[in-house]
Amino acid sequence: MAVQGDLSEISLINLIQLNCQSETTGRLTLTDQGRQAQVFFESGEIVHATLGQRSGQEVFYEILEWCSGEFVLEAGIPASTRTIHTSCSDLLLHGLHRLDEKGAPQPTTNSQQPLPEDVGKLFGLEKSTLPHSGDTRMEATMAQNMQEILTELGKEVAGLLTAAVVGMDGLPIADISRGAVDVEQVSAQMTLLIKLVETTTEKLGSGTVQDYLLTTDKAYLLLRFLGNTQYYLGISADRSQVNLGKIRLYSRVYAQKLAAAMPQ
Amino acid sequence: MFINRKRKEINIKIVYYGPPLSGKTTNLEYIHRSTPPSRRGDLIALKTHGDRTLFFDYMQLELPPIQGMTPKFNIYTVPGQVAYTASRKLVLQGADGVIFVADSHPDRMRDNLYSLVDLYRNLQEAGTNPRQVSLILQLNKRDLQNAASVPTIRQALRLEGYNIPTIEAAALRGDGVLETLQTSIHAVVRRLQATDRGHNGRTR
Repeated sequence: MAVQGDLSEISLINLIQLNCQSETTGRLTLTDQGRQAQVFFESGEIVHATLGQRSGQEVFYEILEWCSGEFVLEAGIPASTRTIHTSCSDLLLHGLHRLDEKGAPQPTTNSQQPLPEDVGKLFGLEKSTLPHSGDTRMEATMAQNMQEILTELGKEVAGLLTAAVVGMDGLPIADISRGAVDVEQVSAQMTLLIKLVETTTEKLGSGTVQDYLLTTDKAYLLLRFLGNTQYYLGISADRSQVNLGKIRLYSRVYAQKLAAAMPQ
Repeated sequence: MFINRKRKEINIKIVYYGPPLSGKTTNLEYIHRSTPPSRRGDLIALKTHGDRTLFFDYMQLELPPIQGMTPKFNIYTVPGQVAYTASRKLVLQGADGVIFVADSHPDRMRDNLYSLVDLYRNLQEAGTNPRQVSLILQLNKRDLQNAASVPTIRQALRLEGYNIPTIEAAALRGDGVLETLQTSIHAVVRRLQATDRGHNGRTR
């Protein structure tokens, strides 16, 4: 099956990128004002390019300069030989780079256009709702508050080993731990677990999960959502130092505190 | 973003942008160095006058899948020089996250602003909606003795009064480098998951 079109409709760069990303094997033929070029793809890599009688990487860079003409893409046609051994992204970056360097130096657009007064608006950023609008590092402040609450929790629960606030993307926002724990990794794994359990409870029609309890011979591990289901608090505690009722109570109280500290 | 259904991968593009010599390259080199080879591709470097363009793939294996697909990150820097229009366009095309690396040196506030405005214009030219991109601000070179204060830089960038995740860094020492990348990944993944849920109608 062949795909045809005109380079005025889709740029050659985009066309090549598309073939690379979708791991195409096939032949791209370009025709413009009597000259013909071919680029061969093999599982998304550019392996061969020809222009007239010549072939190879230099030829590919030359072809990249084409802005007009017609193209035909035929899937499944392999190259007869291999003349290019560089990865697709490398080739494209190098090619455009050379093109830029060949081009006449352009006047700086910087000094000619007026600068916008409000750059935040251009990027569609949200206005800060914090009282001190000068320092709007909201995420940082938020994480700091969480950190303080967790530290407080750590002081209150004697046998606490680790506590963390984790987003459902698997990344911890704040954490405390006694001893060497790879909180990032554990958070990601626990999040996966939650997602798995969610599918099960959904299938069973057993409603919304409120908390997760894991009991080992040494520790309790308790996970509880903070209000909405985008973040959860995870606590692990030494069984010999704290009883289950207490740890449940603390997790409930602190989940509420943490939820309150999180801007909704 | 590009979805590869065959491999069940979702390719996410993160671009480091900023004025020449603000430390974009230093950021990338540090990340590349501190990531085990099994989780990243080769560092591809292109020489430009006074600056370099870098590129590599980066995997964060612990991230949960998005729509059942493994996220894979393509990390780029952009040549700061004005002349490299086509290269910049290629790099910015389809960017999911942009990390703007600002120089904390007081003499470079104007360069910072020009570069940020340039970013906006170049994104538009590359056909990428600047409002759809997760923008993170890194204030680099905080180890300079005369580094401008955080509010001063934000004011110089005309971002006063806006929420934008901001990380202070000293990229040569590696301070704040990985945090910046994590913050960007976090922001991009969260946005993709929000869209994901929107499509499934699975809100609770």
